[in-house]
Amino acid sequence: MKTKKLIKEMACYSEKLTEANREIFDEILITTRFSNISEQDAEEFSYHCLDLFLQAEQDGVDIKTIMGTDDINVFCNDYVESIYKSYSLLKKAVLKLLYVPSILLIFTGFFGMFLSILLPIWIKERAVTFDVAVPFHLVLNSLIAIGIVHVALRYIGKYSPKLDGIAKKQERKWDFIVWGGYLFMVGIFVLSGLYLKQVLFHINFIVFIIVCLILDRLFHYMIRKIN
Amino acid sequence: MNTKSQLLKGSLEGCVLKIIELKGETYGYEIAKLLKENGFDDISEGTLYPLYTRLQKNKLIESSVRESPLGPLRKYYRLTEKGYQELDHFIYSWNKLIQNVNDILKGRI
Repeated sequence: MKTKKLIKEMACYSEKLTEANREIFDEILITTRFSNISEQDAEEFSYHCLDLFLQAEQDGVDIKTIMGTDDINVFCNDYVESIYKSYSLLKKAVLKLLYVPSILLIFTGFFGMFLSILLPIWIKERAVTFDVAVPFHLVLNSLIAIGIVHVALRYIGKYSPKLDGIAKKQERKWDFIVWGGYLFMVGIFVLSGLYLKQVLFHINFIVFIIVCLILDRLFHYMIRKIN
Repeated sequence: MNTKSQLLKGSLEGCVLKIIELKGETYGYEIAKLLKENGFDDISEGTLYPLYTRLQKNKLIESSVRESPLGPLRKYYRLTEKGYQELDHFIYSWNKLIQNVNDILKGRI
């Protein structure tokens, strides 16, 4: 079944679960969605769990008995680890690179090239050009953005269920970490923009966008087709 | 992991194949329930689901998707010809193993 259909059906049928069981199911959804396995495998497993939970509720069985453990992380990791192990090296590599073209399109292409470089040239010189002189800071900031997204995707699923309902003191600690990290990154972006202006190479904006789009489609196709 | 768990995990694939054979066609919840009722208490669904995927990939079982009475689509599993052969092979190997282990444990060496 297609991933979109799985997601749509899960949203519909998870409403049938009791509130307590739906919370457990939501945690499973988040943990598998933000794990390092493919979207299709994550959604298929959650869908399978939803069917199990609905059946368990109907039979009056505690879903933790069906899960075989109280710990949702252990439950999901059992699945995630064994599925990840079954992937080929190529699939593992593509999974790591899956979001890179999107980050390059949005962060580097739209913000870094179009808004910061091309648009000012078009307005100032009243000439439409697509040639972008790529400065060092754009390359550096793009690499940082890729790193941040990678780290965020890896840890959101791990920590977000744990953050639900935490004490005020803990909440303040996490606010401090998130805001501190955010300000630190903005500082790096601003400082690198001021001091690392050396042009490393030139690239055509249209070619860059097309290459990113092709890579994005290719990686998504490969994830579906390779084992 | 204790010895009992390791032994159970080692024989899990064969037991799942046998359950599917006995039922003709069955689904995840039923398999998990039967396993739990027969001593596999600490087997998690997180272990079972990848096993179904692996069995399908190795063409030992095949699945068809149908609507369940509760609404969502459900995967029903059945054995393939290769699955029946694998099950026979497992039963033979298991019996041989039991016999060998019993011989050693009873001092018949």
